[in-house]
Amino acid sequence: MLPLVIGYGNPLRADDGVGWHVAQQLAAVLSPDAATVITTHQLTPELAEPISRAGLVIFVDASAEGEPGHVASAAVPPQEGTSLTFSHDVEPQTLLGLAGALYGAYPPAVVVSVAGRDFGYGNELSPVVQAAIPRALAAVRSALSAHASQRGTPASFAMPPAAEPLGPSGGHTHA
Amino acid sequence: MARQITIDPVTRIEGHAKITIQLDDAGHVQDAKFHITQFRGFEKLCEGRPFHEMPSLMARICGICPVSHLVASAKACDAIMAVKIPQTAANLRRIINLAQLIQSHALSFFYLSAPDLLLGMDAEPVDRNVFGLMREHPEVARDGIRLRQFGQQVIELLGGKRIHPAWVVPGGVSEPLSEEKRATIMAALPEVTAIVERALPQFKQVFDRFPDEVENFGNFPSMFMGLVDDRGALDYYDGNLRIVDADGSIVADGLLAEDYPTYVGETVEPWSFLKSAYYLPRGYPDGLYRVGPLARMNVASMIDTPKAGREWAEFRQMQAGSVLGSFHYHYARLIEILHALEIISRLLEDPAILSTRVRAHAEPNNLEGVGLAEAPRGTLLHHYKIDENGIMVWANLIIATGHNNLAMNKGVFQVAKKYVDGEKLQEGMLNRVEAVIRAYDPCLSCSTHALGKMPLRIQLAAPDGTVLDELVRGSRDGA
Repeated sequence: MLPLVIGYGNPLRADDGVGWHVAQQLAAVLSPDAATVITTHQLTPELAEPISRAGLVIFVDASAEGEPGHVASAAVPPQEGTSLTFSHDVEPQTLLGLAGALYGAYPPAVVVSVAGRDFGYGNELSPVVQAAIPRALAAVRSALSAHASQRGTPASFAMPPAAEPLGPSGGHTHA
Repeated sequence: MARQITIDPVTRIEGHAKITIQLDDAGHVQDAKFHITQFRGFEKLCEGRPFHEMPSLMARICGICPVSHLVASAKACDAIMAVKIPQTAANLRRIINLAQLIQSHALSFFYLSAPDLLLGMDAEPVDRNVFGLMREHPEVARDGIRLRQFGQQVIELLGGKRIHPAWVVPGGVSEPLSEEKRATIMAALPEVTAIVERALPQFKQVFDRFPDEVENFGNFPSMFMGLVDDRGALDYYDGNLRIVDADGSIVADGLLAEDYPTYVGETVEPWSFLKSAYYLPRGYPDGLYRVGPLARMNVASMIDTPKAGREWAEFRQMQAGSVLGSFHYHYARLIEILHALEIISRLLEDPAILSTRVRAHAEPNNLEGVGLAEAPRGTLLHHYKIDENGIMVWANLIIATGHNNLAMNKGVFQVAKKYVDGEKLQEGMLNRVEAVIRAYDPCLSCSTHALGKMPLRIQLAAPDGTVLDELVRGSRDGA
């Protein structure tokens, strides 16, 4: 089962789009058989199904907390129960819980977050967040490598052919 | 002493609205209004931009139905260019428009409305949401997710991305369809068609459990408007507008998009940013009409796909003339999903869908153009005017929710009259007010159904501001 990387956020709200940027750059260096990469505005219940089929899921997002440009990685446990009430703000742990409840499986999960400075209107990242992208990419690659090592398979970072628009079987998908 | 009840939503919603209910001296409901408090201003934003940017710009109006705006906008641009786009391009636009409808209807029905229908209107709000549905009816939840996924995947395959795809352009579409993509969509059709065929009989039984809601949710005589072709068959992309009345009689037929100023009036009320549309020959407000799934079922003389056609015939048996209850918007949405799937299949089976001739090119040849299409929520119209250099100088948009504004207000009034007690607010009122708005699936749907909890605060206040009674449904923040 391939790892799944989900970069999410609003690319028209400056640093909120850092997840998009990281995912797009990742898709450029990962071969389709190394991971599936999805870019999306927000997490929605439809993501529960591809998550259930993944060997690992890595969420990449901006954070409104912390020193701008700081990159953090943290494991995410699935949420038990459904105390969440707002469908426009589904969180990674909720999706993991949904994947387990609806499709019978959820993978290990990691959130890679980049603390933002500017969440105003604009399609460019602030300089400090732009400078943090290599560290965010490194964090994602580290999680992928650790997963590959556990499985005894090498992770491939070869330049890919043109990305397929299909989500589940590999490649880069815009959601 | 006359009093006013104000339903004022908490923020953190996709749209912004409030409801006011006016009581008379005896405490009976005298009036109710559905106020849209959100100002978008797209009609002004586009002034000064090249007209060919409009599809891409206008798609940003909405994150749920951007394709609908792409299609209507592109058609307006086609009219400015005075081109007849290649038939393959028209059919490809049809497919993406229908995919939009499928995913939007799936969202509305399975995520937003099914919790009411399967868990009950009086279920606890904390449970009466899509996550509660997933817990109690996981198979229904999976079906809804798959349908929405399918619609989104078709949009992504055709347009390159699921939200705000740029593939629909003035003159046609930017790229032809590949055999591989066609095969991918065709392969998924049997599975998703089976989902709808499973859902229809299941939910027809469920609908029978809501006689009160059928009777009282926006159930009133009105006209209905929608696109039909020259056979009278439902058409989501082309054709002309037809208006029928509550008896099912045709009021007006063969209405051309560019003539809309002669039959659609718009008025602005001081209490809402949403314009109210009405049938001009009958004046305001007698010219109230409805659009969207229920209206489309009523205006059509036929549905030209076999499975949906049979379902439509059964639907029309519910009432002599037009089916009037807004509760039946839900039922109509399921039929439309089935119809859309059948149309997509028919279009993809035609080898001409793979033609590489998918775009007409021209400079502006008219100084204005009107584009009209059926969006998931109803008739959508874009009207543009340009200068001699092709720069936008004026735009008018009439969106489905605007067509339905008068009807939504009437529906809220009807529900309020039944459930509001002048001295005491009833908990059931909150649920029913949400539900009647949700039946129309306005672009404010997200504001009325945050997973079964509309963030609402209803206050019954005396003219001096004294709060006589209050009901609060909190947001995630617990407010």
